[in-house]
Amino acid sequence: MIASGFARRLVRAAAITSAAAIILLVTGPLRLTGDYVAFLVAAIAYFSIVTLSVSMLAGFCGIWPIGHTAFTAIGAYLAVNLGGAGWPIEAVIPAAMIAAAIVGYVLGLSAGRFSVLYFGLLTLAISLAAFEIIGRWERFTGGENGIPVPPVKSLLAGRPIGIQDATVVCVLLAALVFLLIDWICQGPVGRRWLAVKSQRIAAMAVGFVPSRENALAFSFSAAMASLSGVGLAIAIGYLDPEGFSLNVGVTMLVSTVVGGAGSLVGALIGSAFIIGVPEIARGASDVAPFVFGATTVLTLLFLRKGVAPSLIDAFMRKRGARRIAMRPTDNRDGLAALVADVLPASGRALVVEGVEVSFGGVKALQGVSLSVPAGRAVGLMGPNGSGKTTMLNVLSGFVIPKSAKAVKLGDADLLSLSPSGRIGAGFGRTFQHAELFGELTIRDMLAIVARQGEAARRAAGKALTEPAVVAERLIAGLGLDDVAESFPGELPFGIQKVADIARALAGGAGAIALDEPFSGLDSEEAAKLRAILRELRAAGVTILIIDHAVDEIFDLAEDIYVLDFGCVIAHGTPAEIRNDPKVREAYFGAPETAEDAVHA
Amino acid sequence: MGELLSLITSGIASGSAFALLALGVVIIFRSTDTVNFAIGDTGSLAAYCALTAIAAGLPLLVAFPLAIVFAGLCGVATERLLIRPLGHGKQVLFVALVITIGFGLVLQAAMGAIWGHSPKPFPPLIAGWVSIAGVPVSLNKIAATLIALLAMAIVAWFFGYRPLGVAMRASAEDPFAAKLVGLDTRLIAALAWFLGCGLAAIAMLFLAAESALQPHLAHSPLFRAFAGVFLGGMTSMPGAVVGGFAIGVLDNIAGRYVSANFRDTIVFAVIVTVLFAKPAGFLGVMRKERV
Repeated sequence: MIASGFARRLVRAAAITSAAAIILLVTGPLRLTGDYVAFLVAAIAYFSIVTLSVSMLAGFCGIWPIGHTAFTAIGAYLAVNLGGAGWPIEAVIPAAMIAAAIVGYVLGLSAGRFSVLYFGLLTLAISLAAFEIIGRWERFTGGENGIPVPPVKSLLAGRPIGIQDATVVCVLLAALVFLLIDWICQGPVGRRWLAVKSQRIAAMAVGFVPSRENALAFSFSAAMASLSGVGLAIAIGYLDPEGFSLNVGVTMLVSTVVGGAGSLVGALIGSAFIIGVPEIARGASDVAPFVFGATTVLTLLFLRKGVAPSLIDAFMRKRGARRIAMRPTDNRDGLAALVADVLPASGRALVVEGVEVSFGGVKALQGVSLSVPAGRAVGLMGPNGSGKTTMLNVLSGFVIPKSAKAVKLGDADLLSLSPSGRIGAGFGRTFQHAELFGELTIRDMLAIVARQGEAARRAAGKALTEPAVVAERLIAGLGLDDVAESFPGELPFGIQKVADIARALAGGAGAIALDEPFSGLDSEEAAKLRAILRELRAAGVTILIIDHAVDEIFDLAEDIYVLDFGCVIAHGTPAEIRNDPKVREAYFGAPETAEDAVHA
Repeated sequence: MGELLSLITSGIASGSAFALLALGVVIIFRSTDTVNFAIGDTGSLAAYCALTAIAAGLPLLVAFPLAIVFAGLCGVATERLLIRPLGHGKQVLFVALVITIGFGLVLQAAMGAIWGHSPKPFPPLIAGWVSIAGVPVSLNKIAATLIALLAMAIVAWFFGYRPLGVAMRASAEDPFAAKLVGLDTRLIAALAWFLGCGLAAIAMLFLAAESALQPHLAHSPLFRAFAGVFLGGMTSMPGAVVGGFAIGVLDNIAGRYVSANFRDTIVFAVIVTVLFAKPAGFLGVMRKERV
């Protein structure tokens, strides 16, 4: 699969390169177009660079930057100033990229810590501040009057380049940016971004760091956007601060929305729209903003994904959804071998001692201790609000306990690790609602998570390290063959839950905490899931089951803890728990005695 | 000292407009998870309509309330026609945000086409000046500040004591539960948009009288309102009001003592710094992602 993914990226790269070559031939040597059209092509090219930068963030990260103008400004004004100081364009380009990437990374890291909504404000702020600075920093920008772009040397061309070379320069820059962005986004990094975009929490649970991924994406996008500025400087020949106003930032959003977020062709369509409409509506100043605004609204209402992706969907409409049922997995040896081949750290005990958690005045956990011996299944039950989920969140690192004597997996102190660091220690979890990555197929999801566990597998001397191969083994081992190329949204809930377990295993979890694995499943699905969990336990995976489904816990777990009001009220074998009066009271509100039964 | 006092006074006066806009933004965000970028333009549109009505001979005291109601109805229509069809979900947050940006462009272009781009003088509520601590302050500013405070008090009373207001707060906390106990979430959404855009209209009427009415008038105050919202926290109504006033004062003081040329930069630098220290804003509660 790696090979075919790689091949697909090569084909896409070849397509981009040939498209650029054709455009250059048509506007250049073949002289099929006049100067006016050549200029429009240059404008569309440089605008498509920034559109794709925005589009990539929106499509792959769910971040909508409102003011990418700050980064085009960095590129444009560096081209003027460095170019004027004698730097060749070949040096200006990397300089602009580096400067924008650094600014982008710092800003991205600060916004990425919070929610994606903060990116909106932050980019708005940057763009307003940049506009103000451009208007005042006369030595660098010419202030409000603007500044002419000097001829910039080119080592490749062997002469200074100027407006007459605009089309070539802009199309080449666009080709470069399209190649880079497509290569990154269609590869493992892009998959990771999609995972973080669709499920931030679940992404952390398998080892991704959302804030870092957001910052990386933002920085990369900023670097690319700066090249739009370089192209603009060469093509226009004169920099006017108005070219970096918030209005322009808004047209970048319009362009992205109309073309379609995350789409290469969409970036071209959107840019042609942005450049074309004002050209057609020359002289009527209100027409262009009106058309931009109205088209944005209509596109989002009726073609949510934008023009290009909607058209592609229409042409490649998928066949009707198949009826998918869960496959039985009856290969005990298969799962045992899978666990041996894939998990770098199975056979570790999970130990929790004296965990205290309080939210405000509410004591959610009061000195809870429990232990799951290596390779055993232990149940954690209790009524609603008893602290089960809080316990799970302490284990996952989403809740920091007020105090704790120990939270350990084998020798590893889980408390000292970040949520994303815990998968590296071999701790994994599943989610009550599966929380799969909505925009990745099951295979892609497993492969990208398996990449996280690659180093640990190699260090542990495991037979399988290659992510694609690990994914393939998990798919076969857990009976996911029929659904490997499906997206989670197309699958029944039971299969999603199995895929969630597969995801934890892909990350290298030798100990898994299962959050209500049986809730929402029909009896057939539950039976199959039970079989899988039994086999995993037999294969040596340490399992903590947290569930309401009392019968399932009694069936699977050898040892059960019962929580109520944040305290362990009972601990013992299924038989002991079944007859424990305190448990009955916690579950049914009153001790159920023969006398009660008579009155009832 | 006198100068600082006057800076603060006029900062509070202009801050009252930011606070009204910020309050409108938060009320709408809480009800439908939509960051409404068109809220200021909706207010500007109402101000243009008021101007036309006054030119046609309608008294000011009739035209202004009508304009406020008109803006509210525009808000209701926006929610009904542009936001509700989007449905619910995590990605809808940004789709809705971008739709309102698009709608704002349409409104600005329409205003430019109908009334022209040149600034139009706008009648103040009360003409004249008084002197506070030796500094002249326009009566319009004082009246506007009082009206803004009155509007905020009414909003506070409504959300604090009226059953419907309490229901709206409950609905913002948990729309699903609100539906379960029989609250009409559609009505609540419509009411929130009505209130939000109505408050924005009050702000824009005041701002138009302070300078002059033009299609892009809402730009700068709306961004300051957003800064106020983030300062106070996206979901807190008191936070938005305090944030709006704080931005007004900060803006004035920075403009005088640091640099009049870098007002936006300074204001936003402060916001970004605050966000670093306290991501949820001063009074807002960070929306917890479900685990």
